[in-house]
Amino acid sequence: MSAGARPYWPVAALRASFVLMELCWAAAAFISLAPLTGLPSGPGAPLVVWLYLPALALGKWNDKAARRPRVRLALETAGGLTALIFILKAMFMKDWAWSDPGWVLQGLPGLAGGGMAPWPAVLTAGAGVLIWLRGRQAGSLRLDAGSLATGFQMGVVGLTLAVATAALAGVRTAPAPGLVAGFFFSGLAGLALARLLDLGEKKPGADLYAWVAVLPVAPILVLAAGLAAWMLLDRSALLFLAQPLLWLWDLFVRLLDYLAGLIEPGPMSALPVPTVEIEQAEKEAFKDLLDFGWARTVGRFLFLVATAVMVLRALLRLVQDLLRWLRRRWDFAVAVSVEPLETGLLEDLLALLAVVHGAARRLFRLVLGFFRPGTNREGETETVKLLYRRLLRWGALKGRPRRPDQSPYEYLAALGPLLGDKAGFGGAMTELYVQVRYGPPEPVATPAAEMRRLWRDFKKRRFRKRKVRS
Amino acid sequence: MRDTDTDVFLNEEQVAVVHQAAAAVIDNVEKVIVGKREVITLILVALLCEGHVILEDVPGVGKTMLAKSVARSLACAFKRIQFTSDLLPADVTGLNYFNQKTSEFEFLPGPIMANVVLADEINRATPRTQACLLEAMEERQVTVDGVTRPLPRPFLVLATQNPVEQAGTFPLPEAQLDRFLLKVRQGYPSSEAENAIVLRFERQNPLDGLTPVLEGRRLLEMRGLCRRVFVEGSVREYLVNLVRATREHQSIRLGASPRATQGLYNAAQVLAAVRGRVYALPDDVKELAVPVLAHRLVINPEVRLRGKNKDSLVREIVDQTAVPAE
Repeated sequence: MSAGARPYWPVAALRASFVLMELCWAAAAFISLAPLTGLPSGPGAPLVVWLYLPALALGKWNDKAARRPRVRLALETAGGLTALIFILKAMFMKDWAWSDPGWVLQGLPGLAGGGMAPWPAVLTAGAGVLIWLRGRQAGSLRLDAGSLATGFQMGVVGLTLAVATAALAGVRTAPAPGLVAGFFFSGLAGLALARLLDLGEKKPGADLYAWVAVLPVAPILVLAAGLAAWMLLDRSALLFLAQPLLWLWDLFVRLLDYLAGLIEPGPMSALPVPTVEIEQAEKEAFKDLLDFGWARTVGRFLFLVATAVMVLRALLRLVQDLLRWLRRRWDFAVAVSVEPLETGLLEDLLALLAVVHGAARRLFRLVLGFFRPGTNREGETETVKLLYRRLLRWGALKGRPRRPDQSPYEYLAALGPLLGDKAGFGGAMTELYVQVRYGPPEPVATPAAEMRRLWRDFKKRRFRKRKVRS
Repeated sequence: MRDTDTDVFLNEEQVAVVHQAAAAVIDNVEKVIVGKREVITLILVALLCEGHVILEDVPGVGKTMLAKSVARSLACAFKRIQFTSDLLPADVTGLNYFNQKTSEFEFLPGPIMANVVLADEINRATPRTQACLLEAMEERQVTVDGVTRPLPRPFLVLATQNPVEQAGTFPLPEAQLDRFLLKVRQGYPSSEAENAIVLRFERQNPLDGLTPVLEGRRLLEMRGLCRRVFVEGSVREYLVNLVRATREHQSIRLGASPRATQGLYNAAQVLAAVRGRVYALPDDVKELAVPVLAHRLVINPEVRLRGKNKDSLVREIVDQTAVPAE
């Protein structure tokens, strides 16, 4: 998503919903765990959550300034520590006032003699560090549907872990429902907005997950449908809703009458006062409607269902992403992209099983080689292929994966600039692989040992170069 | 698993013989033809495959000189046939004439009775005369007045077509072009090569001083060796997939035939041996794909409007076909 190509306000709304979502789940998680730490209750406890905002701002500032990594790290560490100290002081210091500048210079209260207990402070500091790091990470995030979904997943997992930990510890206090609701709805709104913004660049109908945009609207649609059904069944509701319209019509008629009276002077009548009188019996019938009792039940049910679906989807997506990362690690790909859910998970499981099967087969051959020494041609060939695949993986991790139409020599030529002083080893490995892969079976040869030696030298040359740099 | 019909694969000593002989021929021809090592190699591959070559190029780039140099290097007889619209089949194959002194009919062999035949501007002859030459190429024999006479071995036809002047010509149809193993473009020489040509031909014609470096019968022995080059199963499948892909491409109306598959296979074996390897590589197949396959294709007319030609389509197919590797 490019901010420069879109109107500013949707992007700003997207960022605001992301930040709000993060603050809500962090605060809700912190409040869930606060009783375990023995923290004093009060407004100071969630203050540590606000570390997120300066971390986010510092992260964006550092990224734009493009400073050297050590300078950036120093700035962020100093900023984070300063913010954390101030918050700890605000939480644990007694008898201080914001208007007194002296509190800035005062040290933290001592551990003994009425000061803060060590464990609460340590846990609070730990939580502050985690929130600082998350804010820093969010500062460099590219906000789109993917990053929002990932942030939402983190929130769900974080909340779940916090609530579960508190429940295991016997804490009865529930995380602030308002914060949890704020997390879910700001997250859904952000996802819907991101998806709608992304749809602007894709073909219509390409989005299979429009439910992200539909779900927040569903409770409203259900309420409207229920209201429509009730109105059809109960005439008095129609009258109730029609009263304002009838008053407007009456007003209009009287206005016309007044204007007519200007032409034909006569006594002017005053404009009517709205008289929406409802009979007492009908008031009783409207009581449930005005209380929205049934709507609360429906809304609560929909909220729980939507929450359960979102939690399951987030957990499944986590597993899916993990499997894909494993698969691409073995397939030597550099980038990880998110694919539709329908077929991706099964493919990943099958690919993972294939990898395990291949590893088991190699292990079996290795063990068999100890009992049948001598001609183990298949094992030699497989070893050479395995080591060549490591060379391919090295090239892929350097950003130059082998294309399917590239032969080994063509790939070696493409790797040329990357190999540097390892070109000799790379060439020899390729030559040996080509001989083993495409050549006739040789009765006398030990290509595996030679390939292992070349690969060892290939790796050594890399470590040697690192030493020279430092 | 054996991938050739012979029982024994080529060994290093045997392939070294082929490699050295081929290098000697190529170096010898390069004394006359400057900067066209790849073209000379392809001609040699065609010779060793017992195939024929069609040279499509503008006049004056050295097609005749190339054919003569190859023939001289192999101590082979060379003949040039200039095709014109009034050329008769008998002018190519030969004819029986009545010798008044002996009062007998004697056979006067035509220019096709040579080891290396340059059929210059074959598209200028009538289809009847073209068919006569093509039949002789295929059967390696000529029949005149009921008497069949074999053509000498080795036998190579270098046919040329001028891509510029097409008026009044009879271009060879693709079905006839399929009989040629390779289509080669010599092209203009580079700036350095053109400078070298001028200097080389300044005092004398280097062709006059060219000596043979390989006998014709040795060439026949090398042919037998080349057929024993090992082709691994996946390389063979890759080769077959390439040819089959030409039959399934949406821009190609008529793809390459099984004759092309056989030709590409043999050519890959020969090229591997010429390069000094006892086994063929996917690189050999890729290098030979365009010369062997492109001229055999019939492409849809609208493809040309998109700026594509047969060579680019074959390259596209090569780029889209996965090479058997890890």
